[in-house]
Amino acid sequence: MANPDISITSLILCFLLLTIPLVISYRMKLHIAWRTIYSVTRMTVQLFLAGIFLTFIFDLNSWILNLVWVGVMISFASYTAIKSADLNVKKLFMPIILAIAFSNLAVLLYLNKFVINLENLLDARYLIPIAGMLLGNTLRGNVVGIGDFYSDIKRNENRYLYSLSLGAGMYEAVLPYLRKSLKTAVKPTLANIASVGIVALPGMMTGQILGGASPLVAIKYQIAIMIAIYVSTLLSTTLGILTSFRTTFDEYGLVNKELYEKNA
Amino acid sequence: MQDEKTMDKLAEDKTTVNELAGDKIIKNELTGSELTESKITECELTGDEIIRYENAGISFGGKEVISDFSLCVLRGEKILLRGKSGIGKSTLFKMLLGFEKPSEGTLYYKGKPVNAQVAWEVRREVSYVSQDMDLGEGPVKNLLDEIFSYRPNREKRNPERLNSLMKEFELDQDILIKNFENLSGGEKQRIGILIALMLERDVFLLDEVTSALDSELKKKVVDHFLKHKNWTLFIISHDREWERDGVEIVEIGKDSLS
Repeated sequence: MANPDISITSLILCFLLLTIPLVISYRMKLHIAWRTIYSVTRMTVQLFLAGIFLTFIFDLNSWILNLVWVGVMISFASYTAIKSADLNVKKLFMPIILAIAFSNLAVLLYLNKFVINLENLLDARYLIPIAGMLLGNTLRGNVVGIGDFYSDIKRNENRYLYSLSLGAGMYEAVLPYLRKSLKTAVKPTLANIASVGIVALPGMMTGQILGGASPLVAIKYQIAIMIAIYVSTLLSTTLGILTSFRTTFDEYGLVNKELYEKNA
Repeated sequence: MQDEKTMDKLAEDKTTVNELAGDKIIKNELTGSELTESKITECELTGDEIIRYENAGISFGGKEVISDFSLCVLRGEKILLRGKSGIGKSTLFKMLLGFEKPSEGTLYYKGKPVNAQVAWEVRREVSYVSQDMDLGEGPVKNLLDEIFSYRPNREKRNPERLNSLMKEFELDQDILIKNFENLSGGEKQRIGILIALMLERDVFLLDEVTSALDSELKKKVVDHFLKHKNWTLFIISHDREWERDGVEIVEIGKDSLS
């Protein structure tokens, strides 16, 4: 059932398509020609390396190596997530990495065990691509959620302090901000879930269908993946924010000022 | 230039403190106490001290806002703090609530130096009304519900008392369903006062709570607070309405007491 390989010649034909953006860039003076070449080259090199690497990992299929690789993916994902949230990376790194790791692994293993019914839960062919899809999505939720949470408290500092002065415990005082940021974090995922199948076929499903799977099998995988993404996004963002309190709030219930100093 | 200014300010504040101390000593003589050295000891003697600042100072980004401030508020006392805007009066309240940490000196609440634990205690026992009332967004009723869901306030939910206070301060029932962010400054202030009173605490930090009210309402609010002899009031206000019998005026950042 495997789909036909794309030969190097065919790939070159594909690159030929890029002359269109290059011509548009030149005629309209968009100045994105170098950027296009840079991005495409970088993508090609990265994907070729990934291809070689994944082939190697799939052949070995050692569960330790698979887990280590997922660990590397998670660390990289967490780092990028905090970096783009304009917050102090050092203070948030541990809580976020633990939250993302725990939520994604828990959902992933549940999926592999009970939904896909794998015998080897840590099978590279399933673990790595699914982890990649979950991470890509939970990452976005975390960036939005955590960034939103702390910037909202900072923006409404007087309101926050006032609730503390009324006798609210720290958890009681942050609850409105927590609710709001969690809703913001999962909103796009929920919207995305509701529109799947109408607007576009998701990447994974497309891949499976191209790979020769029946659409009926492909949609079932897609349903599983969408639910997994939603669950792990909400779970990891909740855990991420909650576990970050220990390092971000002081004993007075105030947010450490250094948190807002990027790269401090 | 900058240094000179700071020095001037320091000198100015020092004078004030001396003046304040002097004021306290006179008061002491009136009460027949033999103590004349410092008000700090005076507090310890009278026993029922609620709030005490001992040479407290704070600076933001190297700039001194308050320095060497000493004051003592006893149970039942009504103290009106006056002084130019931006001199750091509100900061004095915030230090007590643990929102700002003094860079020098010490604060005491009921004789205990204010650390994190005491700050949480202050927040549970003292009613604070800030000058920029920001309850949040949404219907007032929901925001009140949220406040009465906090653990120390759960028993304080009392619709009848809420009604009678609303009547007293001329707030219509329909204000409860209005969104807080759309209320006028005067309405927000009254909501803040209302909450402070609903919490049934007996120590109040009132930061410009009558500034947006008309003279009739100002009078009502001041009447309400002053009629309770056992309440301890620490007030920041530019309103003349507060200058009544039994209210002690403390001027900060000025050479003389007016």
